[in-house]
Amino acid sequence: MAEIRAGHPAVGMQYEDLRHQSDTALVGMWLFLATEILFFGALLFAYMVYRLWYPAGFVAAVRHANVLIGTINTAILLTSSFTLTAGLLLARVGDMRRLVWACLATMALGLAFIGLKAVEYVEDFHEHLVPGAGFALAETPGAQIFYLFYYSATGIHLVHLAIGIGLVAYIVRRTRRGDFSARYHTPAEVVGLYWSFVDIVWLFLYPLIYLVGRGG
Amino acid sequence: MKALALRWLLLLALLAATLGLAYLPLGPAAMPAALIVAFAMAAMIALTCMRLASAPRLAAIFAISGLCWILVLVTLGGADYVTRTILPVAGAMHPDRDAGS
Repeated sequence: MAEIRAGHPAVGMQYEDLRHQSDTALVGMWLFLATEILFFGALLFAYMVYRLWYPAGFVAAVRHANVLIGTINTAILLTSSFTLTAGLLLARVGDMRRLVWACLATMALGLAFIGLKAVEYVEDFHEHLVPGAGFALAETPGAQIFYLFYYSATGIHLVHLAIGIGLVAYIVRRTRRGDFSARYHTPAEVVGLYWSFVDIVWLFLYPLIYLVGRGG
Repeated sequence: MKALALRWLLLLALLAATLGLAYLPLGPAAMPAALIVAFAMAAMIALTCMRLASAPRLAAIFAISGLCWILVLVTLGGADYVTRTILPVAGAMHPDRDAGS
């Protein structure tokens, strides 16, 4: 990649060569992800504090969460990270057709996650697990706070995932347009970083929402 | 590609493990156990899918900085919540703790 230098149409004027441009883009995404660690970290920290204050309410609420959907969704997201990574491995050897297929599989998995989450939200609504008047666990202090966290955290995560699906669709469009090659597909690599980060966030939400407290 | 598939299977095995752990009567150890598995899975994703080990050095510094900042947040924030004295007031805001005190 180093031989494609400044002056080439693919290289921005502020870069020495394509590698410099690619590294800058990757570092930029990592910097953004560092701010995202703090964003989600503060949310998870608030969860921990309230869990210490209201242990009984949080355990009762965790036991009402749909662990089957939560587990399937975790497996779906893990798989989606690997389909996209497989696509990027193929892109590095110039197989752009399979990169498109890998991106489409990743998008399908992301949409499946959102679909299952929607089913879960509807179920929660029918079981009156929405904070406010008529909340099913109103007698258990702290359960409403758990569900506030649940809707905030999963909602923000869903927004991130939806953005990720849009970004992967953008990669599909650019790949089909012939913008990428084995030498240059940095935007796909950058989107891959974002997608895997969204996956990692869910890996922490999953035990906090669905698991810890079930064992008694 | 085979190595990638193996790591994917390993992550699914870790997912099954964390699900199984959740149903064991671990008491207060349940949270650390779940978080340790979550960190292990996150590290695998960071190394396999995000290729952190071969990322530009500055990217690795940003990733580690993110973890350091979160450590500062949790340490200072946690110290406050653990050591703060809550004085009882009328219409207690923390029924669980007040009942235990």
